[in-house]
Amino acid sequence: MMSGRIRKLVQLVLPATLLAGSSGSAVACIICLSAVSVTIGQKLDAADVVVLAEPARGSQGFRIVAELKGDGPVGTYVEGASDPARWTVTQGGTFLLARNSQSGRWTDLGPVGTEHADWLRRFLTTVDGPSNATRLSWPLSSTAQAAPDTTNWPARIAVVERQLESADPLVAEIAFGELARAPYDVMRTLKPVLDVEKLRNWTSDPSLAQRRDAYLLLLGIAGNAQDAAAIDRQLIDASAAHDATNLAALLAADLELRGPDRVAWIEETYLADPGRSLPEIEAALLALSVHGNANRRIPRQRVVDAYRGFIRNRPPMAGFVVGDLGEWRNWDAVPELIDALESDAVRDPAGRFAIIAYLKDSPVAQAHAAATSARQLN
Amino acid sequence: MNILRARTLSGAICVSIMIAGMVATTATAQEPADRKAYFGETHVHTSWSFDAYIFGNHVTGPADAYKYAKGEPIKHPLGYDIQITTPLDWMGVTDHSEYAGVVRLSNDPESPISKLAIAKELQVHDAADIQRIYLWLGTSMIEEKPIAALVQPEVSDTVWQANNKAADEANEPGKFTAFCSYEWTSTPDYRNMHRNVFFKDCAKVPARPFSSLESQTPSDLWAWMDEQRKAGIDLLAISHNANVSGGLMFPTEVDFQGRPIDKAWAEARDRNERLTEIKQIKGASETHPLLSPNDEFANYEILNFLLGNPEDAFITIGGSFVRQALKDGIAMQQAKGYNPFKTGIVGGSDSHNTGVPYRQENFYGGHARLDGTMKERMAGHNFTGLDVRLENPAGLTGLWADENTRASLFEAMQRKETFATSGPRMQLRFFGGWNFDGGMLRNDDWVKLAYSSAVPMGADLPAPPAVTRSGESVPRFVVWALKDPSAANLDRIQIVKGWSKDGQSFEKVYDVVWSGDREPDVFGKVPAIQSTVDLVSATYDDTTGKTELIGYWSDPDFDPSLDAFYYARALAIPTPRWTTIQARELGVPPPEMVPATVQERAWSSPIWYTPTADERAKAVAGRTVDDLEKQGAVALNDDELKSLVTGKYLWLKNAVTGGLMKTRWTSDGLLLIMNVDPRIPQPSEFGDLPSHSYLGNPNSAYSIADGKLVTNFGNRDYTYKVYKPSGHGDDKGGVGLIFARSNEFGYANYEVVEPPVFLGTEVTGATVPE
Repeated sequence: MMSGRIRKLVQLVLPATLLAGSSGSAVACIICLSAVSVTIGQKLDAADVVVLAEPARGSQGFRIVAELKGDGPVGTYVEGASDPARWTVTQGGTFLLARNSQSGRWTDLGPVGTEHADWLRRFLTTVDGPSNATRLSWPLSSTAQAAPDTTNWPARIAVVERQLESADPLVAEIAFGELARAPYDVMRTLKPVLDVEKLRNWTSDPSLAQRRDAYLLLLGIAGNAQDAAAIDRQLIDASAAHDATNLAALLAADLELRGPDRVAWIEETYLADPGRSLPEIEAALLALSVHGNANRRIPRQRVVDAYRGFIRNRPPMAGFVVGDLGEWRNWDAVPELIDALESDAVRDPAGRFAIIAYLKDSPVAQAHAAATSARQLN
Repeated sequence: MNILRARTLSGAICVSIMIAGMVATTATAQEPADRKAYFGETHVHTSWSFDAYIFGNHVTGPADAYKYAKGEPIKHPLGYDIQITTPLDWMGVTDHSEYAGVVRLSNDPESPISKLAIAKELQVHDAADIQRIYLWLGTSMIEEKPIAALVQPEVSDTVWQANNKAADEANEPGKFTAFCSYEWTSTPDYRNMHRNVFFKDCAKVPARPFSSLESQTPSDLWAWMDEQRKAGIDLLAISHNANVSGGLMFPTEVDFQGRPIDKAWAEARDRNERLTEIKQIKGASETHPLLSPNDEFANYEILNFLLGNPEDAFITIGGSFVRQALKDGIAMQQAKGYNPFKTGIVGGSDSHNTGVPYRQENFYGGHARLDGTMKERMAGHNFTGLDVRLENPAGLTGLWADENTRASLFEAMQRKETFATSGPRMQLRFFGGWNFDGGMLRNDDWVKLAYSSAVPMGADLPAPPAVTRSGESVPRFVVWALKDPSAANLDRIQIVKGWSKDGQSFEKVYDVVWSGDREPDVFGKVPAIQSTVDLVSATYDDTTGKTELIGYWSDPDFDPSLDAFYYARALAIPTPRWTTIQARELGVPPPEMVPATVQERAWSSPIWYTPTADERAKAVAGRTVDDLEKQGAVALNDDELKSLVTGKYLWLKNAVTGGLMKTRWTSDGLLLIMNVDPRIPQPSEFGDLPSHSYLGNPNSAYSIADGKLVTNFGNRDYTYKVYKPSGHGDDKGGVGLIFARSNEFGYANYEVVEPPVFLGTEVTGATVPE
């Protein structure tokens, strides 16, 4: 559950990267706004059969050349849902195809070289399967519940790290897509193997702007004092310009590099400054949340303390952090949240609802009373 | 009726009336004048919609939507209570017909759907299942390959019956009307072609709805609707979100399948698709500032976004807005003899929360967990490209109907006696006719007089009478608006006129009646009303504006030989936009990327004027491409076009308006149009020509291909063919050549002329000073 929550938060830090990670082959909801960004890795996880195949001569189908997952014997001919115009120009290449037994159809995920077959096989083993999935009550009642997964993250992160910015675009996309949705504490395990110089280049490469957030997080994990100084300069510029672009990732990296003492600066600069925009405030909270969830470089209690100060400073936004507090089962903020509720500072019904839920969950009798009273008032 | 004040201003009269005097009679409606405005919802989704489920709406269904409409609190998908501020009179739940209800009901042990074998595939044990189901169903829709097990009658028919049962149970004739309805969700290539389908009587509905899994082509939907009508089932369709249709909603030449927009197409659309939604949570579709550069209120809730956020596409302006469609429609009426876009106006929400926020003060988003908290809404989040701050509260529909029953409300929709509001309950009346004057408004029973001597919104003006009371055959109009008692005062009422001539269409917005003692400026425009909005406290006061406005207007520019339409637009005084209110509630500055204030508004359905054949015959016939070709004119080829324009200036004269413009075609492919006289009406879909002219901005890039000059406006190509008339000598240079623009329905309206001589600029008889 915890890892799912962290994953969600990292996704929130990285919405643009997730989008960039999905190519034209991404499934977009055709009937309305697409609400689900699904990585190619997730599609492969959901598939029953995954193969490499080459366009069959003289037909609109494919011939399997490598079996990666499930039952897809080499030499079998299959019909792929693909744009023929695309694979005729790359005739001779191989394609990554996946089949889901529910749809009964093959999906062409794009061209990929056969030399990546072994890597793809290893990738496909890094999922525990549905049997290990967290069982949830029905109906789902919180956003956090909407994000469990069964990925074996320690294994997967090690597999994908080797292929970040691979020369093969599809492999690079798969690797990045999984990095972008990996829990932050799992990302931290990569520290011994990360190539700092590469990360410096990637984070300064304009062509990789859509992936910058994730690489900044890795740079924070793997970097040194030189990187801390560089990130500090960027933060000073961003702060002066009120620029929230990549701010959450910059702050998270900064915290990783400089440690708990840096939290006070974030509190002063972003959480307490009345001139900050909501995107800036949210970026700061997100950075704290990521570290609070990881509970490694920054002690969770320090984040809780920051949250409590934030609630006292900005009671209308108390609902922004109450989800983390509840998930961490940390009840230190009960007094601040009771004050926020009773002063009627929280105008957002979603925020009030979250605070009431937190107070009801807490073991503090006074919190129960406040929650009950607020609910009756509502 | 208590008339407090009346005055005459330039042919308009303004009367302020106390609200109390206007409370509608509660007697049983017998005459049209007794019709009341019934406010309702044409467009709302519940957890039964596949996408709403994905967004996180997992619990509330159609029955809850009706509860909400009636004023009962229900749960927002995130769990908190939501309650409508003012209950509705009617509603139709419009869940997507594509796999409607199957996910939700497969997970409801009480539902018979959950007992079917296929339900196991749709049961959600953990949230990863949602993703799996999304991939399964979503891919099926993208590939237009229905999942056979889910479109079997035992599934889809059962859901449809349950939907209709919820409507029947909520329906209370005379008190609250619940329609049987659904959404047909065609989205070819990420272009929104959605239609809501409403049935007059829940006792007469088909066994199952027609979904976009069967066809994404509107004319196929209409053909199915025709079949239903033959079977005794009354129904109508309402198109929506034209603004995100990528230009497909209102085509003028061919539909997206390449089928011609011909008389049969126009008649099928008029027969089936009586209404279009002008505003909803995902933006307004009235017009765009580049289509209506002289309309200072056109920049209203513009949403530059396509559903699904395709990476290589952005919105198309032409074909995506209602006013332009109305203009194209009358231009086609004149040029081709049929009008495919004679549509009435409604508002809607498109909320996927089961409940709907209609107020700036109460905006809780429309997409479940994606915009259900202030943080999600205000922090600049976007889901697949849509910045939530660009959303806005739901629109609303008003129907002038005899009584609150399915039959009466449906008939109001059928005759297009409908109006839309941006959310508040402002009432709007609009009548047009020939034989009345402003004095009528002094009568207590002016509505009765108006119905007897004029036509209401949605109707056609009859042919002008030979003899009128005033002696003039010009159409006259009455506009009336009453504020929402719980919302802001009214600023003004305007009449938007569109007219066409020789394939070109034009528009003009007239201020008819307004609050206060503002005087129109020298251009005839009433200055903006003073804003009372305090951005820091996100408040306003009602010290400006009026509670009610009524006015009379006759068209000073009427030409009986030209097709025209008129619709009324009422504007409220400026009030804080929801983003400003929620910024204040969070203690942060309002976001700068959206306006801080908004003027709520209402739009009537149009009233159309179509000339009789005799009147048309009185007009001087324009020059068509057919005429030119019959006279031996020849179209220039690519080389000749290149020689004509590249690196050149050409003066063009618009044969319709008489306006001159200097066109410069640079050798690197830019077209600049200069010397545009802002006093002369400009034809449609050129953008803001006077501004471009003044500022020196290129109007378009251009290229030459297939015998055409290809220009672009609003992400759509507009081409010119250039004709050399028979006998045209090469020694004339370009002078005398005729340009025909592709959106002018076969007319050739632009002639190359000699550069004009401006008085006082020529120097003759120069002498050298001694």
